[in-house]
Amino acid sequence: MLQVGRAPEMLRVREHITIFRGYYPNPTPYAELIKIAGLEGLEQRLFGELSGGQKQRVLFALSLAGNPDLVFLDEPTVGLDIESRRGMWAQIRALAAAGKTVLLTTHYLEEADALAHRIIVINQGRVVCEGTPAEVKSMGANIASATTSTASTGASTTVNAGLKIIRCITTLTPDHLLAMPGVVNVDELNGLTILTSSTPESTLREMLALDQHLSALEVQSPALEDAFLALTSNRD
Amino acid sequence: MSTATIPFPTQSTTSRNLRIFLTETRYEFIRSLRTRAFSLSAIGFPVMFYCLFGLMMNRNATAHGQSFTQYLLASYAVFGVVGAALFGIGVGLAGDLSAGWLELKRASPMPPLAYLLAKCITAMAFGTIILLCLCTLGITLGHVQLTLPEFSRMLAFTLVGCLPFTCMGLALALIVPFNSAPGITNLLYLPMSFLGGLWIPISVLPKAVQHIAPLLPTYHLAQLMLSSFGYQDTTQSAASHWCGLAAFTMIMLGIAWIAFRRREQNS
Repeated sequence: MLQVGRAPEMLRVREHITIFRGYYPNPTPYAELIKIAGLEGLEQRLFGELSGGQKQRVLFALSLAGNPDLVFLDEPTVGLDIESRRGMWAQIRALAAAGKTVLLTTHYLEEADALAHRIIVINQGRVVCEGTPAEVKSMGANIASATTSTASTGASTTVNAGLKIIRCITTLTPDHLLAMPGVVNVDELNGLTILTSSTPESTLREMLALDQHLSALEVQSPALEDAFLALTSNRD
Repeated sequence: MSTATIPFPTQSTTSRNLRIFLTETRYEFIRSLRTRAFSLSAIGFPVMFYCLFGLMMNRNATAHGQSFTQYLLASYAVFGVVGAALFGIGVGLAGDLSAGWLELKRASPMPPLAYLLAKCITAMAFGTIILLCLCTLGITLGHVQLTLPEFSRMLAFTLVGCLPFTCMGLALALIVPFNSAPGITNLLYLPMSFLGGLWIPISVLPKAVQHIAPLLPTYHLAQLMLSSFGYQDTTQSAASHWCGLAAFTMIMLGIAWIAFRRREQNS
């Protein structure tokens, strides 16, 4: 699937799919294509009459017409509304579940997070890092903490998929927190303490024991977006 | 898009390519018909001009013993097929190129020739429809005498005559950006038609124009078309017209080839 803007407008959805199926010796059954791409009820429409999301789904169907085992999708959800995007995600997951290899390029990091088994981050043509979404996030968090924290130890150079971000209001001082095992970074923002820990469970237990008035607690996985920014800005 | 499937042993590549070509042609024709901006003007203009200049204005006029009504039947058939080829291939292909559609087609196992031939055959089909309309009008309203062999020759010239202009359309599509393609095509098509003697007989045009005409492919095709019913320019032989068309075709193919190579290098 290429980032093609539009197919000829004066052909119907059914006709476009019929043409493309004809190119391949062993095409995907027509009914199956319609179902995968969610084009039921649109088959008689002219391509020019479709909405942006529907057009994108037709192009998606065309890319699957040859029943390929390896599918390249170049930003398939660009310009889609949230509902169509979720629909497309479900279809992509179904493809992967059916044993097909899907290579998807995207600028939407939540999309990579939601779909990918393996992410490769490329910055200016060079591979910055690769791994599972969790691995990429912790790599990003490690880099972020290595650059922002002066007291970070060797922990920041090892990949740790268990890295979590803890937010809370606490009376404990940043220096005290940094001294705890597993803590790699501490920040303060508007009275809120934000710390990154590679052993979040034990860090939390210790904090709760030390500070009885700890409140507004939140534990998060580092967002892929943060990892992405950290990874791409530090390797220039 | 790669598939690890093994081609069917029962179905040869040739027969599959033929099937792809037929499907492609069929839908290219349907698409052109539905695109009214194309189909109405491609068929409408030659028919309207023939009605105006051939049937209403110059009914009983003759030039050098040639009836205007019959002369213009041949020349507007040329005008029609040239328009269908230039706009169908030139503007149509430029549109597909700018939409990135051709890139997608080329990523599929479609033979590129099937795509081009489909467009060419579609232009031929439109040329034939125009010829049929014009002949019907000429015979019923213009009292044109046309025998079946004469009509068959006209049809053959329409089909063959489509090729040089398909090549010209190809060259245009590769050189001219899509948004200016219709304008530039008209800028070439209309003067080329007038100076080639397609609108009014070449013999009533000024002498200067008559000297320019042999440089134009429209002139040569019109002369061949006129020879279908024995209207011939005595100064030049049929062979020279064929040579003129062949040379034009080669030049256009050459330009198209260079333009194509440049596009490939740039992308």
